[in-house]
Amino acid sequence: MKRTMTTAVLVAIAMAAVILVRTSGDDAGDRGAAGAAVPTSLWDQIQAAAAGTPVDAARAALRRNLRVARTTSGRMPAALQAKVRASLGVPAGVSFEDAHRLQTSRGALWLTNLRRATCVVQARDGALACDTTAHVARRGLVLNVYAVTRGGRMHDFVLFGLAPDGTRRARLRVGDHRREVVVRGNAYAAGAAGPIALERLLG
Amino acid sequence: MHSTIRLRAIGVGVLGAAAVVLLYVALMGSASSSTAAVNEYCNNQSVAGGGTCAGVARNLNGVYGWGDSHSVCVGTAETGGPTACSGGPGAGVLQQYGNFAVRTPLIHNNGGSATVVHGVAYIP
Repeated sequence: MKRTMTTAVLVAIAMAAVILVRTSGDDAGDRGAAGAAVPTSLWDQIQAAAAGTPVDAARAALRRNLRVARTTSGRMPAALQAKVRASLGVPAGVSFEDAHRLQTSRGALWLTNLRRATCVVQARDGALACDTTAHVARRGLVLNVYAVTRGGRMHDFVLFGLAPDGTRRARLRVGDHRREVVVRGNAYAAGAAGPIALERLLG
Repeated sequence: MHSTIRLRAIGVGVLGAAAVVLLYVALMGSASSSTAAVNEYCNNQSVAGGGTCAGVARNLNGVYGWGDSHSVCVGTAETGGPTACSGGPGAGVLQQYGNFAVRTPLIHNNGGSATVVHGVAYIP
């Protein structure tokens, strides 16, 4: 009996060890990557990714696929422009070519173009997500933000999305739950206590 | 009688081991469901202005990040680098990918001065 019980305990310990290894943090080998072959400028990265696509063709596709891009260009506030410029690492001499304001249930956004990059910018604080203009014209763009307490707890997640014309709803997932939100004027937004993922855009 | 006790002991042992295996399977099953777990990368590391911290490559489908002093950008090396930036201190940003794959999570200090950064990866 002793031997059997000992075997059972050893098996339990081994299983627990496997579980712990799988779920514990693993940042012991993290390193500063200055000098490593890792792109650090969002600007350089997008320009490189879109190098084969003519700017005019990508911009035309964006206008064709998103009604908001066909509206009269507005002007992003100077402070927000500076924030976007710093976040992206935009070189001096490259200016904002156009900017379109979008209103969502969770606040305003700006859609802006800089050469081959198209970005969605949160009007409140300048959080942004960018991709190549050609990609945004085809698939839209998502910006996922949240607040953080001093203790490092993440809360108040908000997903902002940009969707091509013809998209009526966006199906989102929060944990194991699915929900749909209405797309208005090429934009949609939703908030939740946990991370929100875009599952698909629906016509 | 002696053999009956022995058989019972073996039965208890086998049942115990089976229970542990079932618990393990249940835990693994829940971990691989759509509710992903998280683990940290570059957590509490000070990154110089313009610098980037890279975490250890792991199976992930999303990266979170925030900075204590100002905004940061997050992404993975395999997807070309940082693709989304937070709005400032106390605000985070999350970049999600459509599938789980082994990727190297990155957090980039897009400010001019050092900040302590916090990265979290979305794992199965």
